[in-house]
Amino acid sequence: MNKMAFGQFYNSNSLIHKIDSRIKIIFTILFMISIFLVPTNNFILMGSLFVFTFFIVLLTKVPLNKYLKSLKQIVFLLVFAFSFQMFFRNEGTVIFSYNLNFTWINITISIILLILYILFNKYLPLKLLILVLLAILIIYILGIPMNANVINNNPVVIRIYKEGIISGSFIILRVLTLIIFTTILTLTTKPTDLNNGIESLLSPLELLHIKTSIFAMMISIALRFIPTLFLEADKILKAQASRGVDFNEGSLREKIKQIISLLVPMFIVSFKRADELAVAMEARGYVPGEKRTKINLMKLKFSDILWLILFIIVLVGLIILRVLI
Amino acid sequence: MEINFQHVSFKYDNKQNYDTLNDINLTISSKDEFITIVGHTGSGKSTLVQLMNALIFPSSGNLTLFGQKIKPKRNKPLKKIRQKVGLVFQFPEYQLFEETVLKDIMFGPQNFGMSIDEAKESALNIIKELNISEEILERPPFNLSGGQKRKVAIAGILASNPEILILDEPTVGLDPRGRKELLTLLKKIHEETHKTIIIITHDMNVVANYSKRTIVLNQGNIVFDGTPKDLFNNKDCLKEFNLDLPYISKVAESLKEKGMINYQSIPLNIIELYNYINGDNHE
Repeated sequence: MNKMAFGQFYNSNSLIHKIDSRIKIIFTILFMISIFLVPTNNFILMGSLFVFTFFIVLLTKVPLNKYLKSLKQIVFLLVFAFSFQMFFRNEGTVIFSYNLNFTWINITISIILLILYILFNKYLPLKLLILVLLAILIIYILGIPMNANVINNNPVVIRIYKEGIISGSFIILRVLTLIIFTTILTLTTKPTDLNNGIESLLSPLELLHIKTSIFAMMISIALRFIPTLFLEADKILKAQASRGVDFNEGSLREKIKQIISLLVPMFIVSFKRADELAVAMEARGYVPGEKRTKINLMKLKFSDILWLILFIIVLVGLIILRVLI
Repeated sequence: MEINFQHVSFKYDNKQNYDTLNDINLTISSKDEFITIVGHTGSGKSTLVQLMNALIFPSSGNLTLFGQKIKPKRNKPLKKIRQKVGLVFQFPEYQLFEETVLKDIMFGPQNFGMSIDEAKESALNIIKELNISEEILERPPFNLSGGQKRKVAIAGILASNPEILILDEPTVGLDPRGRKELLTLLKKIHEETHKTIIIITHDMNVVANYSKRTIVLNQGNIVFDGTPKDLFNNKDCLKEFNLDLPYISKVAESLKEKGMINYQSIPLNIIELYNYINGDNHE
């Protein structure tokens, strides 16, 4: 359950770690804008941004597998985006085409394969890879000509265009750069620093009588309690399991009751915690919206400014390129 | 033997060195045992009892519960085991969720396959046994006092009629009266039904006064398994694992230091101490 803890902060005390969190937030935003300013299918520019990102990744001294972990969560998205581009582009030069035959035999085999996958889904390693392979296999099977009754008389042809593959790859490169760069922010900044940074950046809103400090406090408390609540949920889940709750079986009605048996105690525990926390905060003199001093005063260093300037140059450069091209 | 650990180890996935178990060998019968488990926070007590309830599975070794082997991964349905081993968690009042007290007590038995009528009958029997007043039965469980909530939660486990009852620090947060009531009740259940009862506790008085067998855990290892008498006479063991003596034994010890009484085996209750004092007087 501790795996669920928010913020994958990894302390290696590198150059990037030492940058002021406000600057990091700002340049992450600047870089995201830059990424979207790159003209479509301009691999040289996108590639150089990617290399630039990779260079910063090396500077963070965080083990690369930490980055891979965060990429793992979006593999599905990438595969989906790529296949979408590949299959639904229909102009340009064809590099590959394939006829699908919808006969009884082909469809039956495909359906059997799908059912097998769904049945054994639980026990398979590398689910996503197998799913992709299965999709390819099914498409292949559908392509084998069979002497059987054809259901659909107009043959479906899959055509893969060069442009589709190019734009698919471009999207992957763009999303990869984006995700890796935002991961740099979360890996090298403590959640509390991140929160302080956001609070400080939003502080101009105080002029409009919006109490940003309250929101910042709310966010930091919410983040702080996510792992605690997961632990709590685990405990209640086990307690109900020992009372015979089995989330894997039972009719729909029983299932609803089982979920209620988890939800009601969770609500009660959270409200109780919130109540206790509120009292504890008040006892230590917290008044919402009142001015508070900070333990760690955030001070901009000269190097922070340099970093900011670097990213502004990247952004301005891209804007100029956009205008010129 | 209904609970059988053979070289069982348990490790949490995230590699923390906390609450793990190494090479546990243990057998517990479902009849006539009254066991206390003691040990420091993080010594693996809760992990041990969760294994007994098949809530978590051993990382290695053989664990057999009521004849069913518990494997590290996929398992046959575990409901039967969970019905036979009733586990009362720490602060069990957090598991209450139903609209009325009675319904909540009936929840467990119904999950284990009793019909509504059977569950109600079982619940009403337990309620009588536990001295829960009938007037709260139709009230929501959330408005009860702490002690009452805990009683209701324990009733919810007992109503499914387990053969072994495990309680994880049942007296924490109860007032002295509630504590005494609960322990007396457990003793009564044990004496009447001969069910095995296992209690995790930090209170050495409970160990001395109620249990017949004590298991001491330290850093995931069973370092002592025997009668409370043997444990409290084993001074090295007590010192090494930072265990206290029961109050009566402390009194006896200081009386001995002052030379007022003498004994071979440390007295664990008032009667034993009284006998020693009397015995000395007669000499």
